[in-house]
Amino acid sequence: MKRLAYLDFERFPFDFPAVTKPVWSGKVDRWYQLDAMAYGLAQACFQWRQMEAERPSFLLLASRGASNDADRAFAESGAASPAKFVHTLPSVRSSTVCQVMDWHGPMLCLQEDPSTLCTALIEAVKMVSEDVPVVWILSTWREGSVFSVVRLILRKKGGQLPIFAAKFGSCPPFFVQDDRLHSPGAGIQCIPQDVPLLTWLENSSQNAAPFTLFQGLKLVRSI
Amino acid sequence: MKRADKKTYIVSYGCSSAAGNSVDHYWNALRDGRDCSRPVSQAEVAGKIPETESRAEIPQGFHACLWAERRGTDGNVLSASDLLHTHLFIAWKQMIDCLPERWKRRLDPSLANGRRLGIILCSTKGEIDDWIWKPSLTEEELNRDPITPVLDRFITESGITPCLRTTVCNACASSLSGLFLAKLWISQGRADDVVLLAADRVGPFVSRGFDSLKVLTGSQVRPFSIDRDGLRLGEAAASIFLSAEAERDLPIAWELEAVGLDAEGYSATRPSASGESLRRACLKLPMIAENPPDFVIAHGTGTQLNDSAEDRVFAGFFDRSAPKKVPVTGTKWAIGHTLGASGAMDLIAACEVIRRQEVFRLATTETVDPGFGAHYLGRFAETSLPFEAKRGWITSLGFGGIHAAASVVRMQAVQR
Repeated sequence: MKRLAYLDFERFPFDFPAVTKPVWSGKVDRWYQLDAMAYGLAQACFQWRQMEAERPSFLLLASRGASNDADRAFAESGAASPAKFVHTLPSVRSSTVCQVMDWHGPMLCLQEDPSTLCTALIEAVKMVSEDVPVVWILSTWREGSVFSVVRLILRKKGGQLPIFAAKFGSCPPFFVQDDRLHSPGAGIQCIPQDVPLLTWLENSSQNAAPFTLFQGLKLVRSI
Repeated sequence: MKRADKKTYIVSYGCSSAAGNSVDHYWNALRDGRDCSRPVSQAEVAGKIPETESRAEIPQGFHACLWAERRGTDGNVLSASDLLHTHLFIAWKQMIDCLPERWKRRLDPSLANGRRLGIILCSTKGEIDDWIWKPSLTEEELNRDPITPVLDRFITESGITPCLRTTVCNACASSLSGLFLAKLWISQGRADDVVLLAADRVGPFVSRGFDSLKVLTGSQVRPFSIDRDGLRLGEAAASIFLSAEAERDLPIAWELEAVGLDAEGYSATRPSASGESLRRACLKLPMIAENPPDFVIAHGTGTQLNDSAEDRVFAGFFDRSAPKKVPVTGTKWAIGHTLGASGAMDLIAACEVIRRQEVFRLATTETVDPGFGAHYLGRFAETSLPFEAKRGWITSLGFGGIHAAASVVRMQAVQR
């Protein structure tokens, strides 16, 4: 077994629409026109910016349903609103992330529903290296009327937990290991779906069985 | 752990656009200065959307660069999914036809002999028009992106068995972003070969959306022109075969040297005027001083902001007053802005420039903006390359502040 990377997981719930002007409003032009997902990312990223010095070397956006909610809002409003059309690409949210965090860098937006987050996690595990020491995966979720941002951080080397981890529901770190149970070219391996992944990340106990990701990659909860 | 430094080769490609159903049709339109845009009807764009759906009506006087083939064998207009599928397969078959015989086996799971194939689909809106206009959508429908089903269907009907797959949705920089990922897969040793697919269609959703942004030209796309006033939408599908290997029996192959990505936080729909993000993406390409490009295929949408931002970068790297001029051209005046497929179409154009040792003009640009500092091949420019075209750059800019740049270089001597 080979330990490939360390994983932090955090789910950041947020309310939408906003009832008060957010603290970061001065950093995002026309913040009041943001769709729910972009707004949530801004809320989350602003908190992280305030509390953490670390910045990602690479950013992956991986949200279930792409921008379907925004697409639907554009269509239902008569398909004539530029303010709504602007948000009809899931990758556009990176602009808000960059503005709030004063960050720029390489970014990929991946889609592979119902395994979008798992797909991004696999890419992040393979990507993280000495040249790319920290990979963030940002994913937006809507379950009914409940919104949240999920952040997965892959690090080549174990890092310190965010100091406000307890306040924002961050779980103890995990790590990703390669069991080498599957030889290269073993054919198509099914990637698990995102909901089971999130359930495991949020609910796994200390001695829980590892979560099989893909071709020998497994998530293990740290002791 | 240092990543393996495997090279990535472009071995074969195919495409379908408003210029026609082949690379030759595409090249001929570029070479001959043919603007493939035309007035289009509601029926052509709407596909199977009911006529009663007034929200899906296309803008008045709408012009676009559409695929000519839009009907099935039964004579009925194709749905978004069927239209994408039809043209992806046209591009795919061309790509296969251009592969040497023993390379074709790599796509047959029974003959691949353990070679690992990856597949990436680059698109911005996939089959969105097939369902977004429905009176109501289920939670299941809202939780399923519009691009993955296109790839699912392609894999099923092509019979390939990829060991890696994903879709990339990086706005109008999707194709170059997909190339970044393909190159990463190959350099990581996770795939021996990668097929990059790229496709977008012009449906009511994007036509109304871009119209709402007021970025569509009312006349003609004139990239980098003094009187440029907007873009035209276009449809395209491309299929590109990338490999960790290139063999001597190939008449020509190209190396995808590098792809640079950068996202900035300036505006959701506009690049920063400084072009700083594109500049950062370009700086990830081989060092300009030692390996300057012989030409550039720019994103060149024909909008004020895009073209100005690109010129800031190009002029900074290759000012037109420099002894060695680096000609800058583009393809969107001919086939329109093909959204997620635009980078792939530009890459194919760059490979053809290298293969044919010819470059094409910006045929609709009569007067280049005099404030621009780079050397643009406008309508009346000389197009004979003064030197051997070995290396080309391609640039893409996407909504959300996404910028990408790629460098492609000839690998072997051209056999005419």
